[in-house]
Amino acid sequence: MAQTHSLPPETLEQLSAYLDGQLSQHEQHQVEQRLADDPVWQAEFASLQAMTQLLQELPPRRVPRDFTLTPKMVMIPRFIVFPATLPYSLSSAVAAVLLVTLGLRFILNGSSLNDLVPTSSVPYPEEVFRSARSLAILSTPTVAMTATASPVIALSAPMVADAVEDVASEQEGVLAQVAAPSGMVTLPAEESMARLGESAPMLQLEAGASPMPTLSPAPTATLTVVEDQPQANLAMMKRVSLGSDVWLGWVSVVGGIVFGIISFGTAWMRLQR
Amino acid sequence: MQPTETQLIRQASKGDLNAFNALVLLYQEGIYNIAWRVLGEEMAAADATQETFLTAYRKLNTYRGGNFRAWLGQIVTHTCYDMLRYQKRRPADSIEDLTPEDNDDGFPIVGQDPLPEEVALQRELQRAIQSCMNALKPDQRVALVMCDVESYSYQEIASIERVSLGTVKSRISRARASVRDCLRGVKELLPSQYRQQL
Repeated sequence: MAQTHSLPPETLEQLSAYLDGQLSQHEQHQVEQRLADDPVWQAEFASLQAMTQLLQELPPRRVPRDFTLTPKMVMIPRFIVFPATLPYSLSSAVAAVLLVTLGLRFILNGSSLNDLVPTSSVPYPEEVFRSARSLAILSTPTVAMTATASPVIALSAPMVADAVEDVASEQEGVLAQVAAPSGMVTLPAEESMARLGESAPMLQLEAGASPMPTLSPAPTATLTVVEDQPQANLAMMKRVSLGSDVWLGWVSVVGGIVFGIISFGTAWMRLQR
Repeated sequence: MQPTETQLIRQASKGDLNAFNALVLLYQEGIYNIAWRVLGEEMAAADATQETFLTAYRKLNTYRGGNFRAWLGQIVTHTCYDMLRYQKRRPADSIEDLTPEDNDDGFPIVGQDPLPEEVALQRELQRAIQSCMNALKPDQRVALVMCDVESYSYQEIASIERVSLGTVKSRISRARASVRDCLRGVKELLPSQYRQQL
Protein backbone atom coordinates (compact mmCIF):
# COMPACT_ATOMS: atom_id res chain seq x y z
CA MET A 1 0.00 0.00 0.00
CA ALA A 2 1.34 3.35 -0.94
CA GLN A 3 -0.07 6.75 -0.19
CA THR A 4 1.81 9.15 -2.33
CA HIS A 5 1.04 12.73 -3.06
CA SER A 6 4.45 13.51 -4.41
CA LEU A 7 3.61 13.27 -8.09
CA PRO A 8 2.70 16.51 -9.78
CA PRO A 9 -0.71 16.93 -11.45
CA GLU A 10 0.83 16.61 -14.92
CA THR A 11 2.18 13.17 -14.05
CA LEU A 12 -1.15 12.13 -12.58
CA GLU A 13 -2.82 13.28 -15.77
CA GLN A 14 -0.40 11.22 -17.79
CA LEU A 15 -1.04 8.13 -15.65
CA SER A 16 -4.81 8.67 -15.79
CA ALA A 17 -4.74 9.00 -19.57
CA TYR A 18 -2.46 5.98 -19.80
CA LEU A 19 -4.98 4.02 -17.77
CA ASP A 20 -7.64 4.84 -20.36
CA GLY A 21 -5.38 4.29 -23.34
CA GLN A 22 -5.50 7.94 -24.32
CA LEU A 23 -1.79 8.55 -24.85
CA SER A 24 0.08 8.59 -28.11
CA GLN A 25 2.39 5.67 -28.78
CA HIS A 26 5.44 7.71 -27.87
CA GLU A 27 3.93 8.97 -24.60
CA GLN A 28 2.71 5.49 -23.75
CA HIS A 29 6.21 4.12 -24.22
CA GLN A 30 7.66 6.79 -21.94
CA VAL A 31 5.12 6.08 -19.21
CA GLU A 32 5.68 2.35 -19.39
CA GLN A 33 9.43 2.84 -19.02
CA ARG A 34 8.92 5.06 -16.01
CA LEU A 35 6.47 2.65 -14.45
CA ALA A 36 8.94 -0.17 -14.78
CA ASP A 37 11.60 1.81 -12.92
CA ASP A 38 9.82 4.00 -10.43
CA PRO A 39 7.97 2.47 -7.43
CA VAL A 40 6.25 5.80 -6.69
CA TRP A 41 4.79 5.82 -10.18
CA GLN A 42 3.81 2.18 -9.72
CA ALA A 43 1.98 2.88 -6.46
CA GLU A 44 0.24 5.88 -7.89
CA PHE A 45 -0.85 3.99 -10.94
CA ALA A 46 -2.11 1.07 -8.81
CA SER A 47 -4.19 3.36 -6.65
CA LEU A 48 -5.75 5.08 -9.66
CA GLN A 49 -6.48 1.72 -11.20
CA ALA A 50 -8.16 0.48 -8.01
CA MET A 51 -10.24 3.61 -7.71
CA THR A 52 -11.52 3.47 -11.28
CA GLN A 53 -12.27 -0.22 -10.89
CA LEU A 54 -14.28 0.55 -7.76
CA LEU A 55 -16.33 3.14 -9.66
CA GLN A 56 -16.84 0.86 -12.63
CA GLU A 57 -18.19 -1.82 -10.32
CA LEU A 58 -20.74 0.45 -8.79
CA PRO A 59 -24.13 -1.18 -9.28
CA PRO A 60 -26.48 0.73 -11.57
CA ARG A 61 -29.35 2.49 -9.90
CA ARG A 62 -32.77 1.13 -10.65
CA VAL A 63 -35.03 3.62 -12.34
CA PRO A 64 -37.83 4.57 -9.96
CA ARG A 65 -40.34 4.56 -12.84
CA ASP A 66 -40.55 4.57 -16.60
CA PHE A 67 -39.79 7.92 -18.17
CA THR A 68 -41.89 7.35 -21.28
CA LEU A 69 -43.74 10.40 -22.51
CA THR A 70 -47.49 10.84 -22.81
CA PRO A 71 -49.26 12.95 -25.45
CA LYS A 72 -50.20 15.44 -22.74
CA MET A 73 -46.56 15.86 -21.70
CA VAL A 74 -45.38 16.63 -25.21
CA MET A 75 -48.06 19.22 -25.90
CA ILE A 76 -46.51 22.54 -26.76
CA PRO A 77 -47.00 24.75 -23.72
CA ARG A 78 -49.26 27.73 -24.13
CA PHE A 79 -47.66 31.12 -24.00
CA ILE A 80 -48.23 32.46 -20.55
CA VAL A 81 -48.32 36.23 -20.32
CA PHE A 82 -48.43 36.35 -16.55
CA PRO A 83 -48.91 33.90 -13.67
CA ALA A 84 -52.23 32.26 -14.45
CA THR A 85 -53.58 32.08 -10.93
CA LEU A 86 -57.26 32.75 -10.42
CA PRO A 87 -56.95 35.72 -8.03
CA TYR A 88 -54.37 37.32 -10.30
CA SER A 89 -56.54 36.82 -13.35
CA LEU A 90 -59.64 38.24 -11.69
CA SER A 91 -57.85 41.28 -10.32
CA SER A 92 -56.33 41.84 -13.75
CA ALA A 93 -59.79 41.66 -15.27
CA VAL A 94 -61.03 44.33 -12.86
CA ALA A 95 -58.03 46.48 -13.75
CA ALA A 96 -58.87 46.05 -17.43
CA VAL A 97 -62.45 47.22 -16.85
CA LEU A 98 -61.19 50.29 -15.01
CA LEU A 99 -58.77 51.01 -17.83
CA VAL A 100 -61.55 50.86 -20.42
CA THR A 101 -63.77 53.10 -18.27
CA LEU A 102 -61.02 55.67 -17.88
CA GLY A 103 -60.32 55.59 -21.59
CA LEU A 104 -63.99 56.13 -22.44
CA ARG A 105 -64.12 59.06 -20.04
CA PHE A 106 -61.18 60.66 -21.80
CA ILE A 107 -62.80 60.20 -25.17
CA LEU A 108 -66.28 61.34 -24.21
CA ASN A 109 -65.25 64.27 -22.06
CA GLY A 110 -62.74 65.64 -24.49
CA SER A 111 -60.11 67.89 -23.02
CA SER A 112 -59.43 67.07 -19.46
CA LEU A 113 -57.52 70.33 -19.14
CA ASN A 114 -60.79 72.19 -18.90
CA ASP A 115 -61.66 70.08 -15.91
CA LEU A 116 -58.40 70.68 -14.23
CA VAL A 117 -58.13 74.46 -14.60
CA PRO A 118 -60.91 76.63 -13.18
CA THR A 119 -62.59 78.75 -15.82
CA SER A 120 -64.37 81.38 -13.78
CA SER A 121 -62.64 81.76 -10.47
CA VAL A 122 -59.82 84.24 -10.10
CA PRO A 123 -57.40 83.74 -7.27
CA TYR A 124 -56.86 86.42 -4.70
CA PRO A 125 -54.14 88.72 -5.94
CA GLU A 126 -52.82 89.29 -2.44
CA GLU A 127 -51.82 85.68 -2.26
CA VAL A 128 -50.43 85.77 -5.72
CA PHE A 129 -48.30 88.80 -5.15
CA ARG A 130 -47.16 87.90 -1.67
CA SER A 131 -45.99 84.49 -2.68
CA ALA A 132 -44.37 85.99 -5.78
CA ARG A 133 -45.43 83.01 -7.79
CA SER A 134 -46.82 83.14 -11.23
CA LEU A 135 -50.45 82.68 -11.90
CA ALA A 136 -51.67 81.93 -15.31
CA ILE A 137 -55.30 81.91 -16.17
CA LEU A 138 -55.17 79.95 -19.34
CA SER A 139 -58.79 79.45 -20.09
CA THR A 140 -61.49 82.03 -20.66
CA PRO A 141 -61.23 84.84 -19.70
CA THR A 142 -57.82 84.97 -21.33
CA VAL A 143 -55.96 87.01 -18.78
CA ALA A 144 -52.82 86.09 -16.91
CA MET A 145 -51.08 88.02 -14.20
CA THR A 146 -47.69 87.44 -12.71
CA ALA A 147 -45.65 89.25 -10.11
CA THR A 148 -41.95 88.85 -9.80
CA ALA A 149 -41.00 91.48 -7.29
CA SER A 150 -41.88 91.64 -3.68
CA PRO A 151 -45.47 92.59 -2.96
CA VAL A 152 -46.00 95.98 -4.45
CA ILE A 153 -49.64 96.14 -5.26
CA ALA A 154 -52.42 95.26 -2.91
CA LEU A 155 -55.74 94.92 -4.57
CA SER A 156 -58.85 93.60 -3.07
CA ALA A 157 -59.91 90.35 -4.56
CA PRO A 158 -63.38 91.38 -5.63
CA MET A 159 -61.95 94.39 -7.40
CA VAL A 160 -59.50 92.39 -9.43
CA ALA A 161 -62.08 89.79 -10.20
CA ASP A 162 -64.38 92.45 -11.56
CA ALA A 163 -61.59 94.06 -13.48
CA VAL A 164 -60.58 90.82 -15.05
CA GLU A 165 -64.10 90.05 -16.09
CA ASP A 166 -64.44 93.46 -17.64
CA VAL A 167 -61.18 93.19 -19.48
CA ALA A 168 -62.25 89.84 -20.80
CA SER A 169 -65.56 91.10 -21.91
CA GLU A 170 -64.22 94.14 -23.69
CA GLN A 171 -61.11 92.65 -25.19
CA GLU A 172 -61.81 89.05 -25.63
CA GLY A 173 -58.74 87.07 -26.43
CA VAL A 174 -56.30 89.56 -25.06
CA LEU A 175 -53.70 87.95 -22.95
CA ALA A 176 -52.46 90.19 -20.21
CA GLN A 177 -49.36 89.13 -18.40
CA VAL A 178 -47.44 90.67 -15.60
CA ALA A 179 -43.74 89.98 -15.57
CA ALA A 180 -44.15 87.34 -18.26
CA PRO A 181 -41.14 85.93 -20.11
CA SER A 182 -39.12 87.68 -22.73
CA GLY A 183 -40.43 90.42 -24.88
CA MET A 184 -42.49 92.06 -22.21
CA VAL A 185 -42.49 95.61 -21.08
CA THR A 186 -41.68 96.52 -17.53
CA LEU A 187 -43.54 99.49 -16.24
CA PRO A 188 -43.80 101.26 -12.93
CA ALA A 189 -46.82 100.27 -10.96
CA GLU A 190 -48.62 103.51 -11.60
CA GLU A 191 -48.21 103.18 -15.31
CA SER A 192 -49.20 99.59 -15.14
CA MET A 193 -52.39 100.51 -13.47
CA ALA A 194 -52.94 103.18 -16.06
CA ARG A 195 -52.51 100.65 -18.82
CA LEU A 196 -54.96 98.41 -17.10
CA GLY A 197 -57.30 101.32 -16.96
CA GLU A 198 -56.88 101.94 -20.67
CA SER A 199 -57.75 98.49 -21.63
CA ALA A 200 -60.29 98.03 -18.90
CA PRO A 201 -62.03 101.19 -17.87
CA MET A 202 -64.02 99.36 -15.31
CA LEU A 203 -60.92 98.58 -13.39
CA GLN A 204 -60.00 102.22 -13.27
CA LEU A 205 -63.50 103.02 -12.16
CA GLU A 206 -63.41 100.45 -9.44
CA ALA A 207 -59.98 101.54 -8.37
CA GLY A 208 -61.12 105.11 -8.13
CA ALA A 209 -64.16 104.22 -6.11
CA SER A 210 -62.14 102.45 -3.57
CA PRO A 211 -59.05 103.32 -1.58
CA MET A 212 -57.52 100.36 -3.28
CA PRO A 213 -55.25 99.76 -4.98
CA THR A 214 -52.57 100.96 -2.68
CA LEU A 215 -49.07 101.11 -3.91
CA SER A 216 -46.02 100.20 -1.97
CA PRO A 217 -43.22 102.75 -1.37
CA ALA A 218 -41.28 101.35 -4.26
CA PRO A 219 -43.86 100.24 -6.74
CA THR A 220 -42.15 98.15 -9.39
CA ALA A 221 -44.87 95.85 -10.49
CA THR A 222 -44.59 94.94 -14.10
CA LEU A 223 -47.48 94.55 -16.41
CA THR A 224 -47.46 93.63 -19.99
CA VAL A 225 -50.47 93.41 -22.16
CA VAL A 226 -49.78 91.12 -25.02
CA GLU A 227 -52.21 91.90 -27.69
CA ASP A 228 -50.62 90.09 -30.56
CA GLN A 229 -51.18 86.64 -29.04
CA PRO A 230 -54.86 86.29 -29.54
CA GLN A 231 -57.11 83.32 -29.21
CA ALA A 232 -55.12 81.40 -31.75
CA ASN A 233 -52.59 80.26 -29.18
CA LEU A 234 -55.20 79.25 -26.72
CA ALA A 235 -57.22 77.43 -29.34
CA MET A 236 -54.13 75.59 -30.46
CA MET A 237 -53.38 74.62 -26.87
CA LYS A 238 -56.89 73.32 -26.51
CA ARG A 239 -56.71 71.41 -29.76
CA VAL A 240 -53.42 69.78 -28.76
CA SER A 241 -54.79 68.97 -25.33
CA LEU A 242 -58.03 67.63 -26.73
CA GLY A 243 -56.21 65.56 -29.34
CA SER A 244 -53.81 64.03 -26.86
CA ASP A 245 -56.62 63.23 -24.45
CA VAL A 246 -58.67 61.47 -27.10
CA TRP A 247 -55.60 59.63 -28.29
CA LEU A 248 -54.81 58.60 -24.71
CA GLY A 249 -58.42 57.55 -24.29
CA TRP A 250 -58.32 55.28 -27.33
CA VAL A 251 -55.03 53.75 -26.19
CA SER A 252 -56.59 53.06 -22.78
CA VAL A 253 -59.70 51.53 -24.30
CA VAL A 254 -57.86 49.30 -26.76
CA GLY A 255 -55.26 48.30 -24.17
CA GLY A 256 -57.96 47.63 -21.61
CA ILE A 257 -59.93 45.46 -24.03
CA VAL A 258 -56.86 43.37 -24.94
CA PHE A 259 -55.82 43.11 -21.31
CA GLY A 260 -59.40 42.22 -20.36
CA ILE A 261 -59.65 39.46 -22.95
CA ILE A 262 -56.42 37.91 -21.67
CA SER A 263 -57.43 38.29 -18.02
CA PHE A 264 -60.98 37.00 -18.42
CA GLY A 265 -59.74 34.22 -20.67
CA THR A 266 -57.14 33.11 -18.16
CA ALA A 267 -59.63 33.29 -15.31
CA TRP A 268 -62.11 31.27 -17.35
CA MET A 269 -59.47 28.64 -18.14
CA ARG A 270 -58.52 28.40 -14.49
CA LEU A 271 -62.18 27.94 -13.54
CA GLN A 272 -62.58 25.22 -16.15
CA ARG A 273 -59.76 23.16 -14.65
CA MET B 1 -38.55 -7.90 -36.51
CA GLN B 2 -37.57 -5.20 -34.03
CA PRO B 3 -36.94 -1.76 -35.54
CA THR B 4 -33.38 -0.52 -35.27
CA GLU B 5 -32.40 2.57 -33.31
CA THR B 6 -32.06 4.57 -36.52
CA GLN B 7 -35.56 3.57 -37.62
CA LEU B 8 -36.99 4.49 -34.22
CA ILE B 9 -35.29 7.88 -34.35
CA ARG B 10 -36.61 8.51 -37.85
CA GLN B 11 -40.16 7.57 -36.82
CA ALA B 12 -39.92 9.61 -33.62
CA SER B 13 -38.72 12.67 -35.49
CA LYS B 14 -41.93 12.45 -37.54
CA GLY B 15 -43.91 12.68 -34.31
CA ASP B 16 -44.34 8.99 -33.55
CA LEU B 17 -44.44 9.04 -29.75
CA ASN B 18 -44.46 5.25 -29.46
CA ALA B 19 -41.22 5.05 -31.39
CA PHE B 20 -39.68 7.68 -29.15
CA ASN B 21 -40.87 5.84 -26.04
CA ALA B 22 -39.13 2.72 -27.30
CA LEU B 23 -35.93 4.79 -27.33
CA VAL B 24 -36.72 6.04 -23.83
CA LEU B 25 -36.97 2.49 -22.52
CA LEU B 26 -33.67 1.72 -24.19
CA TYR B 27 -31.73 4.59 -22.61
CA GLN B 28 -33.58 5.56 -19.47
CA GLU B 29 -31.41 3.58 -17.07
CA GLY B 30 -28.16 5.04 -18.38
CA ILE B 31 -29.54 8.57 -18.39
CA TYR B 32 -31.04 8.20 -14.94
CA ASN B 33 -27.76 6.86 -13.56
CA ILE B 34 -25.80 9.80 -14.97
CA ALA B 35 -28.32 12.19 -13.44
CA TRP B 36 -28.26 10.36 -10.11
CA ARG B 37 -24.47 10.28 -9.88
CA VAL B 38 -24.13 13.91 -10.87
CA LEU B 39 -26.98 15.27 -8.76
CA GLY B 40 -26.74 12.77 -5.88
CA GLU B 41 -30.49 12.86 -5.26
CA GLU B 42 -33.13 10.43 -6.37
CA MET B 43 -35.95 12.90 -6.95
CA ALA B 44 -33.76 15.43 -8.67
CA ALA B 45 -32.33 12.68 -10.85
CA ALA B 46 -35.83 11.52 -11.82
CA ASP B 47 -36.81 15.08 -12.69
CA ALA B 48 -33.65 15.55 -14.72
CA THR B 49 -34.23 12.29 -16.57
CA GLN B 50 -37.82 13.18 -17.42
CA GLU B 51 -36.77 16.64 -18.51
CA THR B 52 -34.01 15.13 -20.65
CA PHE B 53 -36.39 12.92 -22.61
CA LEU B 54 -38.92 15.70 -22.97
CA THR B 55 -36.25 18.03 -24.31
CA ALA B 56 -34.93 15.29 -26.57
CA TYR B 57 -38.38 14.73 -28.07
CA ARG B 58 -38.91 18.43 -28.68
CA LYS B 59 -35.45 18.91 -30.15
CA LEU B 60 -35.34 15.72 -32.14
CA ASN B 61 -35.38 17.75 -35.35
CA THR B 62 -31.97 19.15 -34.35
CA TYR B 63 -30.44 15.69 -34.09
CA ARG B 64 -28.13 15.31 -37.07
CA GLY B 65 -27.35 11.62 -36.81
CA GLY B 66 -24.34 10.11 -35.11
CA ASN B 67 -24.16 8.84 -31.57
CA PHE B 68 -27.67 9.06 -30.13
CA ARG B 69 -26.45 8.02 -26.67
CA ALA B 70 -23.95 10.88 -26.66
CA TRP B 71 -26.67 13.26 -27.88
CA LEU B 72 -28.86 12.24 -24.96
CA GLY B 73 -25.82 12.47 -22.68
CA GLN B 74 -25.33 16.06 -23.76
CA ILE B 75 -28.92 16.92 -22.90
CA VAL B 76 -28.81 15.22 -19.51
CA THR B 77 -25.54 16.89 -18.52
CA HIS B 78 -26.87 20.30 -19.45
CA THR B 79 -30.05 19.58 -17.50
CA CYS B 80 -27.96 18.53 -14.52
CA TYR B 81 -25.82 21.67 -14.74
CA ASP B 82 -29.00 23.75 -14.73
CA MET B 83 -30.34 21.92 -11.70
CA LEU B 84 -27.04 22.22 -9.86
CA ARG B 85 -27.03 25.95 -10.50
CA TYR B 86 -30.59 26.11 -9.17
CA GLN B 87 -29.60 24.10 -6.09
CA LYS B 88 -26.67 26.38 -5.51
CA ARG B 89 -28.99 29.38 -5.49
CA ARG B 90 -31.39 27.57 -3.15
CA PRO B 91 -29.28 25.26 -1.01
CA ALA B 92 -32.14 24.59 1.44
CA ASP B 93 -34.20 22.91 -1.28
CA SER B 94 -32.29 19.65 -1.18
CA ILE B 95 -35.10 17.15 -0.76
CA GLU B 96 -32.73 14.29 -0.03
CA ASP B 97 -31.69 16.05 3.15
CA LEU B 98 -35.26 16.14 4.36
CA THR B 99 -36.35 12.62 3.48
CA PRO B 100 -35.43 9.45 5.35
CA GLU B 101 -32.41 7.48 4.19
CA ASP B 102 -32.79 5.83 0.85
CA ASN B 103 -32.93 2.07 1.24
CA ASP B 104 -32.32 1.34 -2.41
CA ASP B 105 -28.69 1.89 -3.29
CA GLY B 106 -28.86 -0.29 -6.36
CA PHE B 107 -27.70 -3.82 -6.78
CA PRO B 108 -25.16 -5.28 -4.38
CA ILE B 109 -21.57 -5.07 -5.56
CA VAL B 110 -20.52 -8.62 -4.74
CA GLY B 111 -22.02 -12.06 -4.77
CA GLN B 112 -25.53 -13.40 -4.74
CA ASP B 113 -27.63 -13.43 -1.57
CA PRO B 114 -25.20 -11.45 0.51
CA LEU B 115 -25.40 -11.40 4.27
CA PRO B 116 -27.23 -8.47 5.87
CA GLU B 117 -23.93 -7.17 7.26
CA GLU B 118 -22.41 -7.22 3.78
CA VAL B 119 -25.41 -5.42 2.34
CA ALA B 120 -25.18 -2.76 5.03
CA LEU B 121 -21.43 -2.37 4.42
CA GLN B 122 -21.94 -2.06 0.68
CA ARG B 123 -24.54 0.62 1.16
CA GLU B 124 -22.20 2.49 3.42
CA LEU B 125 -19.46 2.21 0.83
CA GLN B 126 -21.72 3.43 -1.96
CA ARG B 127 -22.81 6.37 0.12
CA ALA B 128 -19.17 7.15 0.86
CA ILE B 129 -18.28 7.00 -2.83
CA GLN B 130 -21.22 9.20 -3.76
CA SER B 131 -20.30 11.61 -1.01
CA CYS B 132 -16.75 11.84 -2.37
CA MET B 133 -18.13 12.45 -5.85
CA ASN B 134 -20.51 15.11 -4.59
CA ALA B 135 -17.51 17.01 -3.24
CA LEU B 136 -16.10 17.38 -6.76
CA LYS B 137 -16.63 20.39 -8.97
CA PRO B 138 -19.61 19.78 -11.27
CA ASP B 139 -17.53 19.60 -14.45
CA GLN B 140 -15.11 17.13 -12.88
CA ARG B 141 -18.00 15.09 -11.51
CA VAL B 142 -19.67 14.90 -14.89
CA ALA B 143 -16.42 13.83 -16.54
CA LEU B 144 -15.76 11.17 -13.91
CA VAL B 145 -19.30 9.78 -14.05
CA MET B 146 -19.33 9.70 -17.83
CA CYS B 147 -15.92 8.08 -18.05
CA ASP B 148 -15.67 5.67 -15.12
CA VAL B 149 -19.31 4.91 -14.31
CA GLU B 150 -21.02 5.10 -17.70
CA SER B 151 -17.97 4.20 -19.83
CA TYR B 152 -18.16 7.09 -22.30
CA SER B 153 -14.99 7.63 -24.32
CA TYR B 154 -12.88 10.78 -23.98
CA GLN B 155 -14.03 11.84 -27.45
CA GLU B 156 -17.67 11.44 -26.49
CA ILE B 157 -17.18 13.43 -23.31
CA ALA B 158 -15.34 16.17 -25.19
CA SER B 159 -18.21 16.32 -27.65
CA ILE B 160 -20.85 16.34 -24.93
CA GLU B 161 -19.10 18.98 -22.86
CA ARG B 162 -17.90 20.90 -25.91
CA VAL B 163 -14.36 21.05 -24.61
CA SER B 164 -11.02 19.82 -25.89
CA LEU B 165 -9.63 16.34 -25.27
CA GLY B 166 -6.93 17.88 -23.10
CA THR B 167 -9.56 19.45 -20.86
CA VAL B 168 -11.34 16.12 -20.55
CA LYS B 169 -8.07 14.39 -19.59
CA SER B 170 -7.36 17.04 -17.00
CA ARG B 171 -10.83 16.91 -15.49
CA ILE B 172 -10.86 13.14 -15.25
CA SER B 173 -7.38 13.02 -13.75
CA ARG B 174 -8.15 15.63 -11.11
CA ALA B 175 -11.47 14.01 -10.28
CA ARG B 176 -9.90 10.59 -9.87
CA ALA B 177 -7.16 11.94 -7.64
CA SER B 178 -9.70 13.79 -5.47
CA VAL B 179 -12.02 10.81 -5.09
CA ARG B 180 -9.12 8.50 -4.35
CA ASP B 181 -7.85 10.82 -1.62
CA CYS B 182 -11.37 11.07 -0.25
CA LEU B 183 -11.83 7.29 -0.20
CA ARG B 184 -8.59 6.85 1.68
CA GLY B 185 -10.48 8.37 4.59
CA VAL B 186 -13.02 5.53 4.63
CA LYS B 187 -10.74 2.60 4.00
CA GLU B 188 -12.52 0.43 6.55
CA LEU B 189 -15.51 0.32 4.22
CA LEU B 190 -13.51 -0.78 1.19
CA PRO B 191 -13.24 -4.40 0.11
CA SER B 192 -9.88 -5.85 1.07
CA GLN B 193 -8.41 -5.86 -2.47
CA TYR B 194 -9.06 -2.14 -2.85
CA ARG B 195 -7.94 -1.37 0.66
CA GLN B 196 -4.49 -2.69 -0.18
CA GLN B 197 -4.07 -0.76 -3.41
CA LEU B 198 -5.73 2.48 -2.54
